[in-house]
Amino acid sequence: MLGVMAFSGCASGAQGSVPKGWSGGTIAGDTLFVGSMEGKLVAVDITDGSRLWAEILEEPASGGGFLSCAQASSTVAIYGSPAMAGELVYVGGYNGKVYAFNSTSGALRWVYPRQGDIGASIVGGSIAAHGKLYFSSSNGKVYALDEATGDKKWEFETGDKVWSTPAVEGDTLYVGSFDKKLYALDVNDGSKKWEFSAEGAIAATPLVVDGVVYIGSFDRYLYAVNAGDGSLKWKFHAENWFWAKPLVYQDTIYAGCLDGKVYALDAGSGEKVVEFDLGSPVSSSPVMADGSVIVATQAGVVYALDTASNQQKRLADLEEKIYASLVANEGKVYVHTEKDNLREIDILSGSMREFSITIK
Amino acid sequence: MGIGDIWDLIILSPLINVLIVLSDYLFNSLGLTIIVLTIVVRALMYPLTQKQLQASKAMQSVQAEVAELRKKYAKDKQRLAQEQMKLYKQSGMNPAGCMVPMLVQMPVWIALYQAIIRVLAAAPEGFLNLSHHLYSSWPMVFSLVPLGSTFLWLDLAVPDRTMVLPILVGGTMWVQQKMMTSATPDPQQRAQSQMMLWMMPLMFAFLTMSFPSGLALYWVTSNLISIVTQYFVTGWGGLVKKTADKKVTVDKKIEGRGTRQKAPLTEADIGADIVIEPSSAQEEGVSDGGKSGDTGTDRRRSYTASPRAARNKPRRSKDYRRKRR
Repeated sequence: MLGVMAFSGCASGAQGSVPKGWSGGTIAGDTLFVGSMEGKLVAVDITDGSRLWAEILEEPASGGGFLSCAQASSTVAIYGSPAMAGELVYVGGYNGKVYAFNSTSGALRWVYPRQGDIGASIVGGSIAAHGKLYFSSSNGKVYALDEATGDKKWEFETGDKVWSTPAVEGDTLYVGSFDKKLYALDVNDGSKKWEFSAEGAIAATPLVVDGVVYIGSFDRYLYAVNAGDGSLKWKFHAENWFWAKPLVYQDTIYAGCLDGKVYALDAGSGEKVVEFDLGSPVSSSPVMADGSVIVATQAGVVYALDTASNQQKRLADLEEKIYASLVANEGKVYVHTEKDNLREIDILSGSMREFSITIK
Repeated sequence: MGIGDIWDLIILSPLINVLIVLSDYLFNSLGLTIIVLTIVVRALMYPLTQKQLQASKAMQSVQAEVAELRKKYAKDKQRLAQEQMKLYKQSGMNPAGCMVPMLVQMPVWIALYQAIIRVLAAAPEGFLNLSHHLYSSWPMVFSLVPLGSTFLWLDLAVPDRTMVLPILVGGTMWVQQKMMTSATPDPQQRAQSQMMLWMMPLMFAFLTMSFPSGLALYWVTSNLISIVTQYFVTGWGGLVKKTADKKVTVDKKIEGRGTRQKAPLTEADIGADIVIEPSSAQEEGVSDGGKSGDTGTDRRRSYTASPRAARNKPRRSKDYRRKRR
């Protein structure tokens, strides 16, 4: 009996208890950097789709799981999109380490911490600004490292896991936590400027525009919070969690929700302008390209939402689940799917190219 | 709507939502919630569990006869099946009686298992998928997730590195298996039982080292409930039988082959109908008409279970001993 349960657990594990990763891409020049599900940081030439280099993040210390259906994994899952600063590209791993590679050669420049790991997984992405690299961790801490050396500058502890990618605007860093709070920290020393309490945990990445922080929560609200003092400006209620980072275009906020809709809201009042029903949860952060909001559903369909006519157009059906954030460049959008395929979609024509990021 | 959707709708989603709400009433402790929910589900399933255990016990009671039949019809499988069915019918039992309640309970147990796995959100993928199971009409479930995963010394979302849980899972499973094991004259079945007795606990102890400890907590709780349930329905089963078997073996050796081991002599041994031969000197004493003045108690003390005597002297019947007294 229990054997049956164990094996059903293995089956369910394949669907969710084994960390696989969902890294989005980051583009610098003609190169796209993405974390593969083989646990590698991969550099791809987007002009011809060739793989320039791939560097594996080291094996986790805990080793593999028994019968291959346990929590531990033999490769390092990568969830956050890589960050760029100068000649370095940064990526955090589920093994609790942050790596800095030379963006041209792929040579490892530094790793933080130098010995061991931070004792918890890194799920959110990292961001480089003011000569520092900021990232968050499941141990509830937000870290600031020296961009060039990887030396720790400061850390700030929240009350629970932090899966949100920090956002930096001016000298303030904004980050959401599972402790149901949005924090504003001083980028120089990590001291807290203010905190805003939501009713649910926060995993989404904040969007900071014109002195307002927009962030979604598991309590099904999208909040608009004044960046100066953390006071609530407005909030909008949906039917499920907000996981993806919202997007702003001409005073309209576009927020994808796990209820399968993208809500277009007036940035000033939070009033709903229009909603796009895509029929499948949206956890991947959308991008703006050629006057359209490009959004991908978990079911694998990529849509273009026309901001002028409020019409939705089906761009492509990849038939593979999509959790990773999208990245756009010169009329093209790049999608990293659950099956570790990287696709380039032309926004106007909908034509597709497949790039190789894994060795098959 | 696929079978997976039906499963989620009818069984999995209700369990997940109940698990989350229950945690709010249990001090936001997921560990406590897992224990309580396991107890509640097992209590609801008790009538079926009881039926299953009783049917198993009934099946075990005819094991000797089944073994005989197997021996007798070893070469005729068809006849063996017929005779077995006949035996079950005569004994008033239905072999499906063991399986049907188990089959009914299985989906609930699997769902409970899956609910715990999902709520624990050991990996971001699993946690993201949890949102599909939450009831939009229950606002509180959205605010409560993710549930705190700390319980006692454990982080329920990761394996227990202290080895305490693997030992507990393996140990409780061994006890449960042992209680279920019955003495069978069939060597093949005996070997099978022995293998199960050790294989399952070891396998689950290893699994515990890799699975989130919240799941292991569920296994331990479930095993303990099974042990208690089984105790009330069928008693200690194979756990205590082994001791009795050992004693019988020793006695048989003394009686039959006359080993050099000395079995402890008790009051009950004297009164019982087992062969305790007097030593030759004392036998002479008895032949003098009991003039030695030995009391019953003294006489009892003077008796020994002499292996040599047992081997050399012919056995006396009950009547003979009664006459002597």
